Amino acid sequence: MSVIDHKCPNCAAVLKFNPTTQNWKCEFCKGEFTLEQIKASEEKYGKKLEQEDIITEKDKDGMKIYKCNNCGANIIMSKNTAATSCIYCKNTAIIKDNLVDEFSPSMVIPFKKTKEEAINEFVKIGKGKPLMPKVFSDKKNIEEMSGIYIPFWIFDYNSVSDAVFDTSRVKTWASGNYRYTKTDKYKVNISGNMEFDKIPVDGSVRFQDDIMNSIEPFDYNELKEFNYSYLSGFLAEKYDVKSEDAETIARKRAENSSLDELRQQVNSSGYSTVINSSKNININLESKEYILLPVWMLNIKYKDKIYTFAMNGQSGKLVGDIPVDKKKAVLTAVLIFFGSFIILTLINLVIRMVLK
Amino acid sequence: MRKIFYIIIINILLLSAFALKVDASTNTYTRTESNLRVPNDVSTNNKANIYRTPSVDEDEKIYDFAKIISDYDEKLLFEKIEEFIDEYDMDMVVVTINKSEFGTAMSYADDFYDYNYFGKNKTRDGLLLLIDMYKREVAISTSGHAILVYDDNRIDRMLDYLETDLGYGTYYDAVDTFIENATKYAKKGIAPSNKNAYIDENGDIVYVSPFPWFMIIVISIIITVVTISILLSRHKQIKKSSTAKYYLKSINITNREDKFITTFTTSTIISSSSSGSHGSSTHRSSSGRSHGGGSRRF
Repeated sequence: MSVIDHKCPNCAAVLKFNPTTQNWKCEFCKGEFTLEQIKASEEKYGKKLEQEDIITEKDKDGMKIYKCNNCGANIIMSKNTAATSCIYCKNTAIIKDNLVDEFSPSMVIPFKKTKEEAINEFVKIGKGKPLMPKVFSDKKNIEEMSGIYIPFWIFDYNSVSDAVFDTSRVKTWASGNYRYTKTDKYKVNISGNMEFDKIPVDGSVRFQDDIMNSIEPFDYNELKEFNYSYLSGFLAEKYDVKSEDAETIARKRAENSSLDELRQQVNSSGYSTVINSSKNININLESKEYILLPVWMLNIKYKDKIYTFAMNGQSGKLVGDIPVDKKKAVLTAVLIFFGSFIILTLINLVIRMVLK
Repeated sequence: MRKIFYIIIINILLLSAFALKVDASTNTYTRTESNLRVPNDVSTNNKANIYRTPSVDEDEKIYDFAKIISDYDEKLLFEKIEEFIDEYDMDMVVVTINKSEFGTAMSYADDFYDYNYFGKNKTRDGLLLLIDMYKREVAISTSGHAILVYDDNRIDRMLDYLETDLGYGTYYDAVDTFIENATKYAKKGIAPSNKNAYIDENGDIVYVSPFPWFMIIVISIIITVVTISILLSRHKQIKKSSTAKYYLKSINITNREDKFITTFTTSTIISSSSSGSHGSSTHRSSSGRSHGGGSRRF
């Protein structure tokens, strides 16, 4: 097995990807390089910093150990890890075996939000949430945030759909002492062809699908051809959800949307009720891709339970279910109740005094 | 013969004198520029209305210009009215007319009350019944405290009785039932619909916003529940996506057919709301004072 790193064309130190400039930065000589410059340098001065046989595999528990090529420490990692860093010297390690052949992603959206930006965004999460427990706004906890390239399957579909809707138009008017209600019933047959572009499905079992759903959408215009270099400085996973399993999820979403769109078409002609009575939706898979998407992840422990937060590493959209501090909730409720009670009583007194 | 003639003359004189005495109940006084004969607290801006309203002796209470109630009946009714006035500290006036008068029966009733010295206390509490034989209309005008006692509902019910009796031409019964009803309601006191109202020093009805303790508690609970649920809703941010609308690149409707199937029409009676808690509706008379009450044709 092998570990890859990129070395600085100037001083041969390890390079890290900089989300702000979308370039690579050497932390020692402060030089910054584009992907082309790194490629050119690597062609000129020999291969990437690639070391063979550093990994010693331990199939037990599905864990692996690798020896850091910078400080020699033994690092334990999950078998799905594609990129990580040494916990002692922070040196990046990209595990090539988890990114080749079938595990080779075709594209990647590089991180756009730096860790500082992600932390600053997270600090604001407590705004307007007085019932949030204190640990969630503690900067010490927030700094545990890690940037992970999460494996995603993306699917393109075209759909051919037919559906029948029972609809009605209702008109009411008053005449004399009577109110009349006229109901016109219709049957609407509608067919349509639709194209869906890059429906994403989280390809990692470790991350909950609904959290990944909640940080959508990603702007696919910024998809780049995959290069190992983007992973330097971040963590990465390889997929462990097969594309066939992921596809059923995406297919269902396309199916639901196809019917929704037809319903909306019918609805827009001013019907009072629109009820679907039959449907025939054919979803055809056009293409699928395996890509990596940038996500800032944070786990915070509160009362023996772990709460996961995720931020779209591209758009900055932050989601997570925040628990409620029950003591705070009760206290706030009592305060609001007595506050409004006192204010209303005062208003009442003033009204009485003014009128009498 | 001469003696008989004298006796007849004397009798006629006596009778006429007696008749004059009885007829005194409908006697009116002349209003002049220097003496308009209106109460001090009434505005004199509407001179025309003042001049056209008869000035009467306010103690007689029954002014039967239309002559539809016999003198004997008048006496009976007068006693009952006096009893009412003493008991409930409100004035009561009965007026009948059979001449064409300006304005509506209602406005005539208001003016008759305002431009004579009727009403108890500062707010001139009391009520007036007008039977207009010319327009065949009956009106009740309330003033001061009586506005609170006789709300729209009660006035309506009193007019119902009046309408029936007057329709039959039993005028004594009409007035008698009116006094009876007025007494019944006066005994009950202020109408429930006017619980939160009072009469200010100008005689106007003022509604106090109903804001009792339990209302304050209920509103406070609602505010608390709404605020807490808004706060709690901000804590749930993770939602599963079951559709893919964002990823829809193109849509092309290839066929659409809207087939008409059937139509049907239903009708329901519009129920007129009769909650009966409107309180008392008031209007202003030509003098600018507030009156309650109502009128009806018979």
